[in-house]
Amino acid sequence: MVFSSLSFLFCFLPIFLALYFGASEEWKNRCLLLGSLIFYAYGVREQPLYFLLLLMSIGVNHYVGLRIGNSEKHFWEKLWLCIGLVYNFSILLYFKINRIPPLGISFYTFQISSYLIDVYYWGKGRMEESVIELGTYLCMFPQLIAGPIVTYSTVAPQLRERKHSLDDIEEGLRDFTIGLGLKVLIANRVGGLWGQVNTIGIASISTPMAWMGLLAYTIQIYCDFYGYSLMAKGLGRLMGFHLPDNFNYPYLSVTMSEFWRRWHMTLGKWFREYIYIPLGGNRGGKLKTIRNLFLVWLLTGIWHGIGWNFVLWAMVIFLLIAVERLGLGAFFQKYREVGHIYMCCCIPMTWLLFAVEDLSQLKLYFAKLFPFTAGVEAAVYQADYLKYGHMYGLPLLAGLLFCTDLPRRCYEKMKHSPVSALLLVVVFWACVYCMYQGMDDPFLYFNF
Amino acid sequence: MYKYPYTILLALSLFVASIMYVGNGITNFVERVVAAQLSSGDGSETEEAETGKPTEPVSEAAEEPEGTETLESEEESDISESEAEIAALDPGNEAAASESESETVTSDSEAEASVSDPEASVSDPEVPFTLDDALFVGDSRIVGLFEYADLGQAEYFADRGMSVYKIMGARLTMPDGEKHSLEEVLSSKAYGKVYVMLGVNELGYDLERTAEKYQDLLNFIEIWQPGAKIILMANMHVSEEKSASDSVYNNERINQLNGYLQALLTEDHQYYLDINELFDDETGSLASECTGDGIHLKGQYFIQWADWLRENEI
Repeated sequence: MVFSSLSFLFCFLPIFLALYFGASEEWKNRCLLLGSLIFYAYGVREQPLYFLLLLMSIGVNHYVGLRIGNSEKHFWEKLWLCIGLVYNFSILLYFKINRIPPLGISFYTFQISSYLIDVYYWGKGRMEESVIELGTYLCMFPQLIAGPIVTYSTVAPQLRERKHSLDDIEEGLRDFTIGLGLKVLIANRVGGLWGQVNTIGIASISTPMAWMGLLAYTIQIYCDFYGYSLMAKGLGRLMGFHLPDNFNYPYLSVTMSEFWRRWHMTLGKWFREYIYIPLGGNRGGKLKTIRNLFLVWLLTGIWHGIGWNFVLWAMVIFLLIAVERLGLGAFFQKYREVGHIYMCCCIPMTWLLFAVEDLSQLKLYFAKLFPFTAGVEAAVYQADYLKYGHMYGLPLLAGLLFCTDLPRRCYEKMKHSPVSALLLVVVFWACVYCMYQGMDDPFLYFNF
Repeated sequence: MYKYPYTILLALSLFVASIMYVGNGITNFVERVVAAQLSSGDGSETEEAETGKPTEPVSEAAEEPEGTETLESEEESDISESEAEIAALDPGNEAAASESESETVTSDSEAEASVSDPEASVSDPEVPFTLDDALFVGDSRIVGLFEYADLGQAEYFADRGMSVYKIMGARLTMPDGEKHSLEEVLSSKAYGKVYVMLGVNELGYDLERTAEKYQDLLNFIEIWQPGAKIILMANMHVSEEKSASDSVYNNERINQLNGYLQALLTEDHQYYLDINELFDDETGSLASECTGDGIHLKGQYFIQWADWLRENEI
């Protein structure tokens, strides 16, 4: 059950919110835990084992956390931490290798592991006695299946005590609606164009179509993920949580390093705090810094999926970041226009490595993008870009606009006028209409 | 209060929407009860109820979230108009159909063989086979065929999402740059062959009713193109993966529909062509390397299809 579905919006959410706001303070967390478990159980209803896996993760990590926190000797702390981490990551790795990871496992594994590491470093103060609180942290449905990745230390105080106010509800609903709009009205529509590229087959697309498809994918992946993170943040806010931002207009960056500080920020923060800095960060000289960066990016690649294209993707980004560290980054910071052009080339290219899993298909796609590099013969409908440009032009342009911070700046200016509220109501119902028409599913959007 | 304009507006709109939703449900329920009473009460009304009834499951099916086409009332009236037209134009239609029934048996059993069987083919051996005098009627698969393969002078009346339910009301851009209806296209000139491939967008509907609509279309083409050979093309299978995961777009239903279509052939200048022999894998599904989405052919395979059409002379 994704947030952008009618069953979530009109069935799960209203019932849950009614129960949640009807519950007394001490029952609110339990209500959230129960609701989240139902949310997850529904999501994995075809594989009940995955539900068990989540429950076990809570149980095992709660127990291991207690053992680490209560150990007198350093040796035992270390041993229990190892047991906990091996348990978490071996399951994650097993499913990543088999390419059928259970819903949200990449996210909750990272979250719960951060909890164990925190308890190990900071001691009893970070330990959670109550299995309910720990469970609520791990599976609260706004961030369970697609992040943001929240560390336990940031949520723990809010779990124990938080305020519910109409201000929060207003803000939460606004964020949720904006996120829903990005997902349904832009990402899913534009995603249809990328779907067309795959339907036609890379061998049979024209060069302009190849560029348009890549642009569509670049917009889709951003609006989809950003929209979902924003919905998560909004849902959290409804219940008084202040979840961290996950995106900060990454497409406006001038270097790759900056891009990855502004894209999926909570994942970057996790890697920085729990891998990069423990390894020594950038304090051990240039060579060690490069080694640490390499390891972080190798792991980031694996986190996204196991496959040669992900390794390639991560290594290209590592190389770019390493080169930027050696001085190129400073140049782009100084001449920002050049930096923007550099990013306009790099971002779509790295996403292409991400999107096309088969290496021979990837080669073919590059040959389509740059037809001078290799002879490409196959049936090509030369006017395909006109046809699909006509069909998808509007969402593409809107998507491009929403990659900048312009819409947000306008919105902030008129936020306090009722016009913005009216606009958001229109967005909300437009989304509902699209979902009802089946237009939210990129596959269903085009008929046969 | 005015501090929370969005919360209030959203709540209000949700309230209004839920009232409309409930009200709509009640109206529908009342209408259904009234209709049931009418049809059971009066004999003369029964006929009307019967002709009206088959549309009901159709619109219900369209509301399913399977992405099936929603029939708009406008198109519905268009279809019934053209239905009336068929009836008016060809009163002897049924007689003609029953007359040729004796031939049905042979043409049915030979339907598959007829393609390569020179005896069954009426074509003049003197004239080389060409697709230049052909009209293709269909959905996105025919559009793709014309986009990716070279079919010479052949023309097509096809569009994404086209179905036998919509085709009578549809107006599509033809080579002259103008929008035309199927009737206008068929009456504009005499085609040598009319190829038809429709059916995948209809899978959400009742198959028998789809077959009836198909029959109407077939009759309609017969009227306007009495000299043309009519070739019904079997609906292409979907991939094994798609078939297994979809309760509507699966090969079982496609085969069922194809069976109905094959049974529609009654005249000796009507043929049945089964493309699936070309693209099927060993499980009887569309081979996975030929398709990106499980339903459509990838661009390069349309060429094979066109070549295959030329090989299978009619």
